[in-house]
Amino acid sequence: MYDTSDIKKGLKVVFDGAPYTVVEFQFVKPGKGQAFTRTKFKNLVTGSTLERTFKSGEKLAPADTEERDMQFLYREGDQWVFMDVSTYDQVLVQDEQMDDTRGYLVDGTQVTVLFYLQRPIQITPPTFVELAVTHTEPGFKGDTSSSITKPATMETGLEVGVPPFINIGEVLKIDTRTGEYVERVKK
Amino acid sequence: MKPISVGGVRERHHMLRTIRAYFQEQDFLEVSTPMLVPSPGTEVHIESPQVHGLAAHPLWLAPSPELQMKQLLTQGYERIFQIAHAVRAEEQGDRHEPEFAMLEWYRTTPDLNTLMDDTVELVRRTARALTGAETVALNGRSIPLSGPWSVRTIESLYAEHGYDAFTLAQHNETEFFQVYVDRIEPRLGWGKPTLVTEWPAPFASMAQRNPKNPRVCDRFEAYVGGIELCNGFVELTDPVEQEQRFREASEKRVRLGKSPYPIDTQFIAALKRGMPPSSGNALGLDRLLMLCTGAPRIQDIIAFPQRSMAPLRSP
Repeated sequence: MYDTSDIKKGLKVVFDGAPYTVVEFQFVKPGKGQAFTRTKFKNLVTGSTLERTFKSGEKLAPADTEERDMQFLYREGDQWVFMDVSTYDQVLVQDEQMDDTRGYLVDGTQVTVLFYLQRPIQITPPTFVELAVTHTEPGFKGDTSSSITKPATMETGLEVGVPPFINIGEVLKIDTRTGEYVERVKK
Repeated sequence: MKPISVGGVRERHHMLRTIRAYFQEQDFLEVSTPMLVPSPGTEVHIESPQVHGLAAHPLWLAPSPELQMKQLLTQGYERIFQIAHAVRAEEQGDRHEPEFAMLEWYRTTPDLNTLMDDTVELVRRTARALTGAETVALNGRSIPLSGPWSVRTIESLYAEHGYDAFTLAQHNETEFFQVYVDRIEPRLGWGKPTLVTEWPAPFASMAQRNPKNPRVCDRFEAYVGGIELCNGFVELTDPVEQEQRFREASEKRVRLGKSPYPIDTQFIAALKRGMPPSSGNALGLDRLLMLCTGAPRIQDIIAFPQRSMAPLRSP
């Protein structure tokens, strides 16, 4: 069991049979009163958030989770197929569980898969991915200003705001935490 | 809002100057009492580290200069203040540092209103010295300090949420504080600062019970933008009741699985010799500095904040 002194960002616990991760916490204590830890959680399956205040010393049940390094192999209809890079085990993930992650994955992308009770519940892409541009309008000639962006569609269907000088076929580095363009990759 | 100097060093200087000037005007004596004390007092919810290796008898780091300053009152000093360092274990967060600066002052007049006036004036002057106006800004909201501050009783604050504060205080202390930290405290002092009064007698700490209404004690706290700034009392001077409260607090600590602290016999002896009717207030200076600089974390305005400490676990 965890107690309130173990609470930190990313701690994974179970409430009412559902897995949650800590996204924010704050120590609160009236000068003459008891201490509490105000904690904000995110449900690892549904993404909904929950706030609870725990008395200092209160116990929290750890979530039976495991992170595994996997590789995205291919998509087959509604299923995304991943392979454990050390055991070669394959895991199927339903499309509706992919959320925003689907825009970052091309065949072969290395990901971290979070398992809860042996079932995959969350796919985390690398912080940066490299994706090719499949569509974007031509930019204005000579416009090197970086403050203006235009929309571009990547090979995964992801839409990204890019500088005007970017052309179809170029490979871009994208930050998966923000979904933003970082730089052009010279190939 | 001006950018904060590294560790808030300059702002702290201006705050301390402002405070000293105020107490000088009010004809106070600035005093200094030890950090090493024979007992940390017996607050149920304040944890104090014991100091080893200095003396054969047990010593603690003082969680506040309260017991020693009150002994000075028994020695005939009438208006005293101190800018002290206080240490409390297991308290660290955006508004808590294990070692923090505390302003504590006492008057030999048993009057909560005078203490409140002192508090209002000190907060206003500090804000003026640091921001140029009697206004502070927190989370993008501006809070005016001029004009009358709101005064709220504990009873009325709990009633807003459908609770009877006295029943909760008597029967379910954890729920009392849970409601306080979840629903009451975060909303206090946003439109204007709020003084919270008439605390239920079980939370009297070292305050006297109100002579007309013994269900409450003569204690107040001041809040600005959800931040607790101080705790002020009309002081309990009766040695018998004080010793009784210490004993009850010690027993309660044991019931909660905490180690009891010794009763400070020097302090009880001083009360027996006679403590004049008095009132006193303890105000967290780092929090005042946070407010007046708009710092989101207490560590932003402390020059050498402690690194994240793993809380002590009771053996």
